[in-house]
Amino acid sequence: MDTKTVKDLMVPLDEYAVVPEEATLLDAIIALEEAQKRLPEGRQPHRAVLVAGKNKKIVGKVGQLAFLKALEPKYNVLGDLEMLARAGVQSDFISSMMENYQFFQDSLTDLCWRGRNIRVRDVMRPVAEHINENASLREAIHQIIMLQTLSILVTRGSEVVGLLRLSDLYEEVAAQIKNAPSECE
Amino acid sequence: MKAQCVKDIMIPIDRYAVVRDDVIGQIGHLDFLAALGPRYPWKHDVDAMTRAGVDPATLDSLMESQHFWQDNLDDACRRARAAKVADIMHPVSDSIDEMAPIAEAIRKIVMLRAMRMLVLRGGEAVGIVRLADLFAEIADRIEAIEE
Repeated sequence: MDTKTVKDLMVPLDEYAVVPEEATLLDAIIALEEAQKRLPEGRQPHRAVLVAGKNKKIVGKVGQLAFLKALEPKYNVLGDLEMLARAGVQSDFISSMMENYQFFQDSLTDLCWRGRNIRVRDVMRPVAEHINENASLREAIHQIIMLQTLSILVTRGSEVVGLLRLSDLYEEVAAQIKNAPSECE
Repeated sequence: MKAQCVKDIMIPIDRYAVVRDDVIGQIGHLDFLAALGPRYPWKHDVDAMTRAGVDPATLDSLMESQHFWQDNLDDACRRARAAKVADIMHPVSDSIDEMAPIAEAIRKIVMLRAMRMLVLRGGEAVGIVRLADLFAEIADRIEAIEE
C-alpha cells in the first residue's frame, strides 16, 4: 500500500458533481444525483458538491451539513457556528442560543420551499487546501486528519484534477488491515 | 409517504455495525485513520489546536517535528489489527428520541456538526440517525416541490 499514491484513490473531477456559483440548492441536488449515477459500482456515494467560479476554477464545496444548515436562515444571526465552537463556546451554550432563536421551528415544507432557491455561493465553504496527485497515501491520511475534513482537492501542478475522499481512504486502509498478518503471526 | 419523525428515517441498531451489546461509543472513519498513527494520544492536542484556530501550516510543521505519521503505512496497518476500539472510540453523549420530529434531528446534528446520532426509545438505544439520510430526505422533499 505504501507504493500507492493519491491519484490511485481519487475521484476524477469529471466524475464529481460540480455546479457554478450561481446554481441553487435544487441544481446541486440534481448534479449530485447525476454524479452518483456515474460512480463505478462498489464505490461510496458522493457526499458533497463542488462549486466552480467564473473561470471554472473550484472555489468551494457544499457538504451535507452545510446544505441542511442552509435551510435555516436564522443561522446568519449567530455567525459561523464553527468559529464559535473553535473559539471554545460550549455546545450547550450554542444549543441554548439555538433554542432561543427557535431554529427549525418552521415546518419542513416551508424550510424546503425556501431552501430550493438558495444559491450555493451563499452557503458553500471556500476550499483552499489541496494535495498533489503524486503524494503518498500516508501523507493524504495525515492531511485529512489534520484538517478534520471528509475530502480534499487533488491537484496536478496548479490544476484541480480530482477529489480524495475520507471514505475511500478508509476503505483502502480497512482492506489492508483485514489482509495484513498480525504482529504476532 | 414522507418521514415524520426520527424512527421513520433511522437505521435500526440491529442493522448497524455494533461490536458490543450495549452501545457506549462510536468510531468514525477519521477516528479509525487517526488510530493508525503511532502517536495517537497526541491527536487530542491537535484537535484542540485546530479548534483554537492554529494555522494548518504551523500544525503541519509541529507534527513533522514530532515525527507524526513517519511510519510505513503497511506497518501501521499491521499494528492496527490489535488496536482496541475502546481506546479510539468517542463516548456517545448525544442522542435523540425516536419520536422527535425530523426538524429536531436536523437541528441537533447541525449543532453538533455530527455525522450520526444515537436514537433512543426510553433510555434504550434502538437506532442511528445519519446525516446522509437526513440530507436524502430533504433533497427528496425539495425535488418534489412544484413551482
